[in-house]
Amino acid sequence: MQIIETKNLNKTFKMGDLDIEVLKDINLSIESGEFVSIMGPSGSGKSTLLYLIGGLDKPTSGSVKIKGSELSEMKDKEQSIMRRRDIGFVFQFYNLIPNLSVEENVILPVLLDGKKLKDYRNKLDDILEVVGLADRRAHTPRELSGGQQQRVAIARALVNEPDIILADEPIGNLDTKTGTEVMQLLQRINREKKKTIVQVTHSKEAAEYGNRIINVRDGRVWG
Amino acid sequence: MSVILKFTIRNIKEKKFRTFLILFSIMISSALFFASGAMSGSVAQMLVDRMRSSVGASEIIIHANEKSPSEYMTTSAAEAFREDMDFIASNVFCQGMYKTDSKETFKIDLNGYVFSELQMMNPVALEAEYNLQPFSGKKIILSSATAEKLKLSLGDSMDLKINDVKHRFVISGIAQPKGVFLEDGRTNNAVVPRETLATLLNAKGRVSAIHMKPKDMSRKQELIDSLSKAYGRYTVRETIPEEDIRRGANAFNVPFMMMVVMVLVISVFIIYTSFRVITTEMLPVIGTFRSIGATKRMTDLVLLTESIAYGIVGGALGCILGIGVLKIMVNMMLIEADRAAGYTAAVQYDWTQMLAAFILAVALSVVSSIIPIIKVSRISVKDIVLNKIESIKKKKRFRLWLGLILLASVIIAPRTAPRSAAIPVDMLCLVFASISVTLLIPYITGGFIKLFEGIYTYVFGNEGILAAKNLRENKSVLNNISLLSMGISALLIINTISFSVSREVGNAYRTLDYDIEFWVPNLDRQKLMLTEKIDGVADAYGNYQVFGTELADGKDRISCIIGAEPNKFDDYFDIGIVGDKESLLRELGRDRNIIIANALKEKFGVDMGDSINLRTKRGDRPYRIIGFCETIMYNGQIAIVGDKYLKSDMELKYYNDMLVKTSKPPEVVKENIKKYFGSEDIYITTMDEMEKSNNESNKAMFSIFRIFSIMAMVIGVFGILNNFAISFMERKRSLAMFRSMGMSKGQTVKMIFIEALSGGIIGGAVGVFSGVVNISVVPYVMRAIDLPIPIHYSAVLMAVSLAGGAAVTMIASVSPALKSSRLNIIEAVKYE
Repeated sequence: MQIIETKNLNKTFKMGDLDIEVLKDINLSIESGEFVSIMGPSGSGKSTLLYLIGGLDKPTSGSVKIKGSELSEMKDKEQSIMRRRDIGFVFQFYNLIPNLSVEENVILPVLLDGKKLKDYRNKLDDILEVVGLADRRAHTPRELSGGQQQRVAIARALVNEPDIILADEPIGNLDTKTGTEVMQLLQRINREKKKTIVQVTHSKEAAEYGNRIINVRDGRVWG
Repeated sequence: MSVILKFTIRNIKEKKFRTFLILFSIMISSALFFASGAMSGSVAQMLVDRMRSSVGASEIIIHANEKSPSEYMTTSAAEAFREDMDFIASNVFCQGMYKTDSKETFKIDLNGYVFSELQMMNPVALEAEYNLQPFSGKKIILSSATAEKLKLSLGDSMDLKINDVKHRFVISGIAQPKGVFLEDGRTNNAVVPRETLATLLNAKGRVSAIHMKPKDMSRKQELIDSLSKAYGRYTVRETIPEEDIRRGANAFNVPFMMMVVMVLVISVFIIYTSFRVITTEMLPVIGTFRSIGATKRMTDLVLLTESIAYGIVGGALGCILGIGVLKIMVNMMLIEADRAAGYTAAVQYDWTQMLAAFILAVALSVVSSIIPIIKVSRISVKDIVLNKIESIKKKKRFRLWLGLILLASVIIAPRTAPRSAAIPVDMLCLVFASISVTLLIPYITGGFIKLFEGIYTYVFGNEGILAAKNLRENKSVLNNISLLSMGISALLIINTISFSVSREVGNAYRTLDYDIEFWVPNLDRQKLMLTEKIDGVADAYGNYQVFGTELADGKDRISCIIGAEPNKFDDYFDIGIVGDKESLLRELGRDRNIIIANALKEKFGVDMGDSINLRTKRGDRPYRIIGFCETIMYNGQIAIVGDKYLKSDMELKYYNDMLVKTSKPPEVVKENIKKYFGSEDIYITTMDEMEKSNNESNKAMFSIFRIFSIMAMVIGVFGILNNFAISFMERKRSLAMFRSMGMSKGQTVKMIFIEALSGGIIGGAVGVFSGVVNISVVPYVMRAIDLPIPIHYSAVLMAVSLAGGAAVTMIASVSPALKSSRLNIIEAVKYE
């Protein structure tokens, strides 16, 4: 089943008087359960593509469909709900809230969805077990290593059981060993929980954890 | 170096609001400091001007006292010092009565002078004269205001009754209403030839007072000592006692300085927090330049230069603004009565006060910014360049302990400090109170957060929980709470004191259980009996009072001693006598016993059974303390003795005034009394009128204090706005991250508003707490300046402060909330 689809997707940025075409006519289709790596040189537009898919940015033209629903037709509230329930984001710099504990960071999407924390206690325990941070639940991000922080970010992305995980350079800020651990975790999530994962990466090693590579160069998909 | 400087200047220009905020804080602080410092000089000058209006250039005065053989003296002993003096001017004084054609009677204060001597001492500016010279015989000079009031002109005759004998004078001069002719609307001054008046008073060749001015002012005290020996049984003193003036001015100075301290604390806080941001922003540039060879000293110097530049500009502007503030303050001190009398606001300052304010401005900027500068200076180049700045906030337990210790010292120190050290100790306590609250705010906020998390679940839902959690360790929120609490504390202090004074004034008038107070000449028992027959008068009481009685040791004085008639005193005065009132009043009638106010008990360090030696007209007399009273009449500087003893020891022939209880509306009875005593000069007022007049003069002073507290709040509000802006910049990333997780725009705005509301409630609550702590210090300051006003706390004021705090932060959060809804998520999330 197609879970992500883009058609004739274009994105142009204005820099003063200049119009810079970052994405040109992208047509893309990702099946449910796939682990896709988007690769390309710096400035190729791969991150832009990821954010358009996630609804964090609006295309200049073209369409993005998530689970059959057209993003451009959604209002802000609907898009927000979609980001809570259908998509989980993982960023290169983790983007955790520094003064909240691990547990509190992970449970944020649940709170945003208006749900009660006590109803998610068991799920929270499970997720922390999955990412290997059950014994660190009371710590704040400042007390964790880079790898641990990224695992918190992954746990947060999973807490509402979205169908899609979008990861922007998930191991870009980690050493090799830690990066491997994180990629193994993502792979496990993909295989065991059947989550669709789309990652943007420079790393060939990271890309090999996926089952498809999409190359982006000069705003277009190659290969 | 010049590149770094260029960057610094560009930074200052770019961050306009922050630059404005720092300059504004420094400017206001130095302006208020300058104005407060100069205020006492200006107040002192106003007091001097008032005294100078009657005594002119006189520096030494000789006059009779209770030990003098006569109220008049000869000038021969003074003449021996003529070589040492610029002038010697003597006068004779008495009061005369003048009845107009319409049978209205006016009291005229007659001053007898040799005209040439008067012109040396206190020159008269004549508008017109008729046959004035030689100034001898029955000639009289009136002020133009008096002449107009009495409908008299130059050349007219004027029958004056002096000691019950009529004398006809001719108006030979009309003077401008200034100097010896400066009048307040109630008095009427006139000048007559000295020898004429002395003869009429059977004091030919003698005078009431001798005024002198030394040629060499540095010898003034030496000459006073010599003249004291020559005039052994008369008083020889400075004409205008500087000690009394300074004491009087000091009463104004201290409260102003208290307010300046509070404004300074807020300014220090704002500049400190602003410089933390400045140094953080400069870090990458500093790192870059240090990595290519700039020394630590060079980069430190750049930051210090920026700080000094703010101080110099702010200080210069502050000095200019300070002159304006001083003029406003001094003008506000003048009450209507002063203006009517022709007094003008004397603005006095000198270059040393300006310099002090300027130095304060620079010091304020440097001291406030030095800690962030030193912290940045300590970071190694490697750490700056690799962006490895340690941002882990270690829980500094010492802050909690320090905060608690400072708070404890604020509570304990004023209560235990000796009276002589009360003012500096209490000022320090005000500073400590602000510092302790700032140190304790993170812990107090932590407590509130736990409370809010529980409540907000039900009130605001999950956005409320998130908002409460976001307050935790949020530097900008904590800074806002600090600023808000300081501003609210300042407002609360001044409004509570103002409220307390108004209430005490009201209470003081409620202790006076009569409706009318009046005076006519020769107020004796006969007039008391006549008063009781007037329509509307239910009862009357003749009141004996003396003012400014010295103690025998000469070091202290009692502002007012009332002579109580034991049987009736309690019907007219409810003066807070402690214990069995009736029995104590009876004791007053039996011997030289005295009841003193608690404020005097503390001031003199006396207790029940001790003796106080009063300096009376019949010599020093011991009075035994039999009781105490709790009152703020005459600022608590009051005592009660038996009327029999007061009358005898002070040789009082007449009552000081008559107190009347009415059976009809006081305004009606007042007119009846005026009609009855119509032929005499009368001073009469109802209690309502007196209370209103008292409140008006207090209102003038408190208006000035309110300006200070409003300035403190204004600086605080600007600081809060700045913090919200900084907070938004720092939180862009986390706000964008929330959005990426699915927080809608509406939810984001809601969360920000709830954060602001929470911060406002906490800031308001801490401000009220801090205000109460600071207010607890105030009574000790007031006591130290002989103003023992009890403090009354107003629940309404506190509630308004709390609500105001929340309102301020809610309004300040509107801009960041709107910006958050327009946030570019990707930019914020992806890029540092």
